[in-house]
Amino acid sequence: MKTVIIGYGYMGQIRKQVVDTMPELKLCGICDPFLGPGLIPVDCAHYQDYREAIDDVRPDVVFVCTPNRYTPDICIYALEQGCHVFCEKPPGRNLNDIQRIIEVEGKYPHLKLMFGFNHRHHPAIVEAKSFVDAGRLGRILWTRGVYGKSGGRDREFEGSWRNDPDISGGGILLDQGIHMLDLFRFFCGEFHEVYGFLSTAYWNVSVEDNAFVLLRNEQGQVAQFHSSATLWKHTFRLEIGLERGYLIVEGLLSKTGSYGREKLIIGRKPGDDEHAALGNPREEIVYFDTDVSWDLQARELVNCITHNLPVTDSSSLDALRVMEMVDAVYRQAKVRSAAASVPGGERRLP
Amino acid sequence: MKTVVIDRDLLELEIKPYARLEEYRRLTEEDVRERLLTAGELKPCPCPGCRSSASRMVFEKSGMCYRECDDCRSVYVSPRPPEEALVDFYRNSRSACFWREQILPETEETRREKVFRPRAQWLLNVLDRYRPEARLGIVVGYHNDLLVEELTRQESHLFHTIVTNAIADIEFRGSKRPNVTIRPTPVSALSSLGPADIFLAFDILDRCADVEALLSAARATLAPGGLLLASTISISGFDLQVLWDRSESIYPPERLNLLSTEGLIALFERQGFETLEFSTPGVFDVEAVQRAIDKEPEAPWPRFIRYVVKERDQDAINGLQEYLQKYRLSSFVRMVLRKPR
Repeated sequence: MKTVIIGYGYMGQIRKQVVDTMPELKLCGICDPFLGPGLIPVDCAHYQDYREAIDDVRPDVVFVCTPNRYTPDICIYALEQGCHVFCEKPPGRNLNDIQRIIEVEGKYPHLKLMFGFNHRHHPAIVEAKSFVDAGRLGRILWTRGVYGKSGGRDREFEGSWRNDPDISGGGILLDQGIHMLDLFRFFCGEFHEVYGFLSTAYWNVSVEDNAFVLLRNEQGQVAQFHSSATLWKHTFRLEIGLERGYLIVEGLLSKTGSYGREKLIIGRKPGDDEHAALGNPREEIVYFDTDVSWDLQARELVNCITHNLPVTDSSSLDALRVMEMVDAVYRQAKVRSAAASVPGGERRLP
Repeated sequence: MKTVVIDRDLLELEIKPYARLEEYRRLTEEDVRERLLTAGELKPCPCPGCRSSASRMVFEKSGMCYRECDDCRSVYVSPRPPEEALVDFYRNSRSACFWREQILPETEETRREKVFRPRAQWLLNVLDRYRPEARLGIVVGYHNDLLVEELTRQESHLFHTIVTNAIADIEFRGSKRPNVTIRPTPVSALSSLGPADIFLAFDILDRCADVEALLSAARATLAPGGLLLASTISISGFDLQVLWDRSESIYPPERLNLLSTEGLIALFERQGFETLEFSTPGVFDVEAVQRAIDKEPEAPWPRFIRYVVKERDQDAINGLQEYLQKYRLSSFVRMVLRKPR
């Protein structure tokens, strides 16, 4: 299948590595107007404009790896030209963007559209999901997540398009936190109640650098999340509390390794005959060596295309639902009166 | 690939009472000399890990020569007795009877709770993850009666299990469990029992005469996508590297093959298995070294090792054992392998 990658930054380059390993995909073009001469791959055509790339190559598959502002228009154009689309997260700057994409997707039901929620395919998450689905630890009671980074070098981070609301549409929650929200849904299903606090606590940017989110679904499962661009130590941690134990995913296999060795901790609630272990149960720690999440997602897309199967993983519905959560946090955080106030604290307010 | 670290409060003493072990070792040495060395059937073999024939003798135990492979550094007995002689040894020797009748009953409850219950739990988790539809399991290792018991206790809809080891009829005597068939079967005939979803080879790779034949049989017996779960002792592990020929864990005929990590990987790759898990969740390495130093304080132990295990507190000891697990450096190896689909 002829393939084009639109946007050849960090994510575009990762996608190229995956495409190059897949015999079903042949990379025929890369589009990025900001590529320096040394960065242009020699083994495929280079384009400045995504329309020109799609019109010229007539690809079967388009990977959209651009900043959020450009994502919806490119997805829509690719679909309208009859291309299957793989789109990085987030699916645009706001809820309206993903709704626009879905509207066009509906006109072309034979085309496949998948989004880059690759964290579902990280090995520790896959293993944790297997534990939950098997049911040996009982049902999920709650989940708790922390996902954050240090931002980066001051000027570089503050000048990044990711912190320009006109291009990104939001801050750390939309950029990185969206993965954790997707994982909450992955494990617990839909959440209907959302509470959020946003702050721009450190960086001189116009979007949030910290978000604190509290969610609850109809089963009464509560999820708590801290998304941050001021965690000076890169951190990924997802805790899942179950009736008969707990699961903790910590660290994340990444290109730089800065999130630490990916591991899953499995703890089991001690039995009544294990007094010594009460409050300090035995744990197993599973360490993982290889991140296959990128490959698995691409293979799933190819599988859906080849066998004309519906996209059920990281679909446009998944993208819509998680953008609804982000949107709800952004809306809720702006409406102070929606939250109950503490009487003593209220008196101290100006 | 993944690796597992286990936090478990278990002392080797609890599953291996040393006073009894002295007697067991004495009997084993006598049996080896009487039954295996005099049989006149010992045959040389290449490295069971990488198949290299370049090796050198490194030590001798009970009259048997241990060689170290020049390529993958596995240690193995060569020349060695054939499988039939080993089966006869495990069925009829005084040491094997002593092990079954004296040592195993004495440690049964501890082994059940601290070894086989977690192992069954792990096994069921592996199945949940990779083969939830499992219908048939083949058990080839020795002393799996408690494991099978725990599996049937923990999982009401357990796969049908066929226990095939050469002394299964003795080990499972008087035991009737639904869905468990006892059928001692030679390695060459195992494939007739398939296609199986899961092949359990715990504590057998180190003691079988022909590892290559066993793994070929596992591959032939398994259905496509079926799982091979194995455990063994590896010479790459901390206690065996430190203690070497002084290790009480190295003795024939139970330890004919002490494959290195590299040897194990070569072996399973050659047989076409995909490695899903390679862990060394051993808990006895540091304890074994401590005990050896206590027993022979004047021996030329590495100074740092002696210092750590003799002078530092239990927290440091536990931390060292955990480090060995985390970096696959304990001598107890556990693997999950998958036959290609």
